[in-house]
Amino acid sequence: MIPDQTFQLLVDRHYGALYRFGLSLAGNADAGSDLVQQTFFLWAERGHQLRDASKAKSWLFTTLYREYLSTYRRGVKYPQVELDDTTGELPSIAPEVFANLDGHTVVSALHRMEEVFRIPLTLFYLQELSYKEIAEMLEVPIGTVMSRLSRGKEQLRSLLTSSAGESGKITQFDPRKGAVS
Amino acid sequence: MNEDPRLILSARRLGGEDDQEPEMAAALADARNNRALAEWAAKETDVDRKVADSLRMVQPPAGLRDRILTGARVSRQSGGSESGWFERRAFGVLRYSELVAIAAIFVMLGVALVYNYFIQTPDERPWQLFAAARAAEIEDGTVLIDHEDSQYASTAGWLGERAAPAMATLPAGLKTTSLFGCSTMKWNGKPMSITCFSLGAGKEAHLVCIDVQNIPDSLTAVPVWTEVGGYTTAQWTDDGKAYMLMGRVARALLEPLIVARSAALATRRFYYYL
Repeated sequence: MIPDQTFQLLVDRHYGALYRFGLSLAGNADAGSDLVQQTFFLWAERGHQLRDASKAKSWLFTTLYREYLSTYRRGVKYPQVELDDTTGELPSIAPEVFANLDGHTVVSALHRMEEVFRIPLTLFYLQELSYKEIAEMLEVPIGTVMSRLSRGKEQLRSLLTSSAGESGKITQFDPRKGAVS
Repeated sequence: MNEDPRLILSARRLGGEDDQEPEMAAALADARNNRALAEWAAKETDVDRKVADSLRMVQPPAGLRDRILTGARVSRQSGGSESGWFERRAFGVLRYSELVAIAAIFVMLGVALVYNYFIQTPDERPWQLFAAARAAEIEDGTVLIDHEDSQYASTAGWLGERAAPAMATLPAGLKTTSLFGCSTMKWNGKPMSITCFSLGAGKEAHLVCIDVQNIPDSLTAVPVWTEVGGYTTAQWTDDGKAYMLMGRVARALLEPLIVARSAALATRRFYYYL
């Protein structure tokens, strides 16, 4: 068993980032919270078997991702966003977009992205895992992660810019209801 | 890997945590010598920082932390059942995926029973490879060990209660190695045990035991060193049992664990030849 103090330390250190990851994956606060709780439940059950303490963070993110795949993925519809195949310059973002940028806007935009880009990009912006750890977690080559990050940033910036342009302001995201399309 | 420096720099974390990675260091060096690339990277970093900062502003719902901690306590008190965690789910309708999972478990149980009683397809892997695969699963945390224990006497007792083979007395080297548990398994229906030791620094050693009449190999009493499935192994027989000591470490680290036994055997052979 893992001592209470160690467990609490681990929760305090990672539950915020894990929640943001879960929210981005599942699209609403309840599902995101469920994923985080289930992840820590599994840690309480099996975490003591992880011999390398430095891999705890990676283990938690990987477990949450796998829980998402096994529990929620079927029920979620992913809007497809057409992307040009060329990887040229990233779209520039007008300064006013940044002026109105907040967390829920970013989560909303992330949730509207294709999953293949959304997952590595969310992990990248959480800044918790290296690109090598992301590659290991998603079981894809490092070059694929880099390519998806580059394309994902392109897609995210297009979404942020179009959101700002369509409504004159950034679309807000209500975590209790899910992404606003 | 020979990626475009822009692709590599796109994956760079803002705190510079990845800067020592060889491909990242090379891309950063490229940027130092290429003004256009450096300007692009600076803009990229600026945008990334704003998005990352914005994402960090999303706060978990109030009470989530307490629910996690309370849930863990309840889980421990109830011996690991999930009852404390998902009360909300328990009173709701099961998700489709959960129903499918439950159905799948019943189907698999049925299939397993049929195989056990009627078919019993043999495992075509040699017992050494079979054991190596289990050791790898234990080390990677994908399979739980059956019994956690730090004492060999009680571990051997636990194995004995389950009719699993076990070494009667550990060699001196293994006696002083930190033990953390064991598992039972069956290779082609024959009982087998694996006892797990920690060597420190994240390294482990595993002692596999099976009755010698249940394996096709003709091992000797003198340990033979060989590589099996990525593991360094020593294999030998004694008192009607076959043993395999294995670890993802150099032979030099494993050898001292059974050196007393090897020395004793050497001495015995020496007197025999006298």
